[in-house]
Amino acid sequence: MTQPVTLTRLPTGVPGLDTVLAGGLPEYSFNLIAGPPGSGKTTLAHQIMFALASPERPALYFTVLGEPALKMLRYQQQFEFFDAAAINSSIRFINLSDEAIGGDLDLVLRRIVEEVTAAGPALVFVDSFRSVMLASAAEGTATNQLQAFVQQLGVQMTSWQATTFLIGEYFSETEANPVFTVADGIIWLRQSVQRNSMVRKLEIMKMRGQATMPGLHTFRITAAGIKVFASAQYIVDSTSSEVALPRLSMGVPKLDEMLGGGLPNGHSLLVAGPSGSGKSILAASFLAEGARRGEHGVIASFEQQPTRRRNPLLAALVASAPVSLVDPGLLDLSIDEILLLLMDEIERTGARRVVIDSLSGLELGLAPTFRDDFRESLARLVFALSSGGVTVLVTSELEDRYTDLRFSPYGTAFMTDAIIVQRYIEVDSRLRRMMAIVKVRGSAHSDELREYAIVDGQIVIGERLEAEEGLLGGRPTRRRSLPRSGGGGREGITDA
Amino acid sequence: MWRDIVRQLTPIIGPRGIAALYGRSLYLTSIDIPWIGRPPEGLSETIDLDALHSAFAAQPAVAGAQGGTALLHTFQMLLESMVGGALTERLLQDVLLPSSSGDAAQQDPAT
Repeated sequence: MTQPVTLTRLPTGVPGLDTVLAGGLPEYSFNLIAGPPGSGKTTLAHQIMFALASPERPALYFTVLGEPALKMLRYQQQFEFFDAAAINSSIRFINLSDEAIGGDLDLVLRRIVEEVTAAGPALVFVDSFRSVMLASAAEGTATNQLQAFVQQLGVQMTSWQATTFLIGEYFSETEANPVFTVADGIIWLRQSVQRNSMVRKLEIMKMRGQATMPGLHTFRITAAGIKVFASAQYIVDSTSSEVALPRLSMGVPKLDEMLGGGLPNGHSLLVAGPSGSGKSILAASFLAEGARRGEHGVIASFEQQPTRRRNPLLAALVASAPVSLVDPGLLDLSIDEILLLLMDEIERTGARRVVIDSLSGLELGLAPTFRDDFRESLARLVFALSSGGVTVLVTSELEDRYTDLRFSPYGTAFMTDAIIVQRYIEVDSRLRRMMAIVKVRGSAHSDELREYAIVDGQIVIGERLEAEEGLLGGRPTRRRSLPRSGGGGREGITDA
Repeated sequence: MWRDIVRQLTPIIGPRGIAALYGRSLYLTSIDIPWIGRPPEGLSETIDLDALHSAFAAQPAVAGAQGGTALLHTFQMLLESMVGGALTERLLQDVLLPSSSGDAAQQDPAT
């Protein structure tokens, strides 16, 4: 039995794109890079070219009628991937405007073939192909002639063992374009604009010979070039819940006991509570306890004021390096971008504990276009992190509503394995704090409502508030059968 | 030398691209050296090297050399302003780097 041909996959040099492409671009493939003006097509083509081109694998870049070559070189050299030393050695630019301006596709094809024959390039780029099409349309060239041109080009380039890219200024996705049929791969770039926010997205609409990641993947263009944030993929290990997991200490005395012996390793925990209730302090204690045990931690901070400035414990942890701070510091974020930043840091440091502080700040940092799917995206983020084996603590602002008993915002209760809820209560005309474990999946846990205080930047948990009832209504009443003082309820607990 | 420049750059920026750069260089140089001539009016698709040659021929040798250097310098500066020094050097390396006919190009650009 004969073996099928092995497709060599070329790494594109574009961070994240090879993941979306399931390994890279097939060698000798005939690809289309399409999208509206300004979507990053030429940048993507250049980044791939500079990554792949070498003296052994030379590239020819044909410029047709689109962006003038001088301007293209002027702007592309702003990117870090641009290497002037490669020009006229491993990369050659060839201007075809004279051939294209007359709309004679045969002339354009002949010139391309001549140059390819003479140079024997491994990589061929035609920018922009839309110009070729428009020029031919101006001459009244029939569609079948265009199709013949594209097919000829495809055949020629493949026969000359060249991986080819046609860069198209704009195509309608629904148009029955002959290029779509001939192309082995179609990379479509999009820009989604909502209010003052603009988000770039990429889709592999077609890539023969490999199972690419479906759907839209956000990307950014920075000084380094294009970076793609592949949509979060996760694999849920169905057996994990049946195995008794080791527990992680939270670093808060009595809280481990309330959780049934600590937070199960690999679980996700939502800490929900009103402003000032100590969610970030609890998160810092969680990371500090990890650091004490030699476990690295990562915190993603989405607060307007950097967390480290407000939280001395966290500041010390970040300064002494057992905890890495991921501060995206950007607007128009996507969940996938955040996840990638976190995953990179987790991989770099081997972190086992991750904190996201907070969901409310994260939501504000997201581009408006992603806010509609916030809940779903959040679930992907949490599942992806959990499936990676790290233990995740997520804080979330939860306004106290004493007539509406809620344990999580955004309807997120289902997506985390454990929930701790914090609330304010009024006792003796004083604002007190109360904490309860709402759930720990697959584990027994305390059902007590316990008062706690913040003492010297640490959470100190007291005993069960057994003298009061109606605590969840915010204004508890004293039970008649139990004494108010000396009964241990709030003994030893004082606010900082 | 100009034929070498045209040969070197045409594949990359096309004849119209070179004609536009050359026209602008001619215009800027002619402000200080009027005899070198203004670019033709309207859109140019090619460089009229015969006209340039005639202009040089009508000048004494020293003045002609100075004019030639000034024009080349302006062209090079213009290209550098567009794509930077490193890439300009790269694009014109066979023309501007030391060669038997490269005396003018090797002069200090400030002169």
